[in-house]
Amino acid sequence: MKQTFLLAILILILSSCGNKEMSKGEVQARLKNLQELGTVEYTLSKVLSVDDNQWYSAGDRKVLMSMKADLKAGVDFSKIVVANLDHSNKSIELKMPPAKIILLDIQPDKIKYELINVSATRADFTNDELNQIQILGEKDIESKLEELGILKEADKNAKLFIKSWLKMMGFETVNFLETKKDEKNV
Amino acid sequence: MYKLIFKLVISVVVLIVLYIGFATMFPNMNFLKPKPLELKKTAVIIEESKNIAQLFSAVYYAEVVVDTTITKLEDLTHSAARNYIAGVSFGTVQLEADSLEYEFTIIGHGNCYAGNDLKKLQPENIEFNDSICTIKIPKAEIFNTVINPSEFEIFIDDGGFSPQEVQKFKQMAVKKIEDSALNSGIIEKANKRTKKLLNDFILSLGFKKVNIEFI
Repeated sequence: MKQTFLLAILILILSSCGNKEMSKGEVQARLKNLQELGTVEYTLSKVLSVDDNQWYSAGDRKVLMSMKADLKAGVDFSKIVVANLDHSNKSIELKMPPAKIILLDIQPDKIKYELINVSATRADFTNDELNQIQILGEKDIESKLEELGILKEADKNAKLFIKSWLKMMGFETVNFLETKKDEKNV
Repeated sequence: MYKLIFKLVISVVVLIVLYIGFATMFPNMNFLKPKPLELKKTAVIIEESKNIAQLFSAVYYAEVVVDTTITKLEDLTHSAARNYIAGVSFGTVQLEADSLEYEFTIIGHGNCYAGNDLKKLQPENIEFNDSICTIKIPKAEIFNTVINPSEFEIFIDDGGFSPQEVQKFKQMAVKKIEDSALNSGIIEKANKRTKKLLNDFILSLGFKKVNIEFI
């Protein structure tokens, strides 16, 4: 009876250890096609400042970080379609999809800790808390992208690029048809 | 007297149980909960903007693990370490190495983007007659490998690494995804996809045949 009880305890301990186990360097991956024409690249920066005061503790914790992000926007190349083509007049009309954000890239080496100040009565920031602060910064940048007018610029540059490219291919008149609102991607 | 103390203790216990129940059911109304970390309001500044013409034609998604362990012997002077080995004489006792080992494991999942830089396209790279178009474009390259802060998960942190060291581990994860993407043939995939995209587009312009060459 005693032995069975000990065995059960041992199994429990071993199974709880198993939760932490993982194969090191494990990689799950997949390769996919893409068709985005990136037409603008922005470098954005933001200062992240947090002052952590809690009701239950004396003293505070402060952290100041600077964060830089690269952002690329453009259009879906596969959705650029020819609407009208007139070879005799060397003219072409195209339908262009609306611009969108392709990627936001915050490289770890572009995040700098300017100041970490913790009162003697408080515990240091954990690395997980610092990562949470970086996530707040990332979300804040994402939420302000619309205000920066990036998509408008991406749209303009996409038209400029396609126009100059088609002119290299012999077209003299290149026009773009307005994309109806209901055709726009969200 | 004892009755009064007993009643008081029971009342306090009931209040605590009620509070815990309330706080569990309505966590947002728990006025004693710690305040979450909040960013002070600061502006997002545009430092630079430039025109590009990058055709993103392949993306490689991966999940990687960076795991590090160090043994910090100098930490014996640290008060926590001193407490841990309290009563042990330094000169006579062999300390177990793993008592001072710090482990850090981070999981990152991100994307590696590749494609062809069409900005490098020059007029002499495009030749055409009535029905055939030949276009020479630059070979595919890696444009960005992205693992943003929200795509990192700190799995084990024994507390022995500085925030700056953690940023370096994150960089290692980014490099790991990039290397893995290159080994998986992202460049070849991007070239193939670009060829198809340009071929379809140029055919829609009225050309009968398209030759795409990489330079």
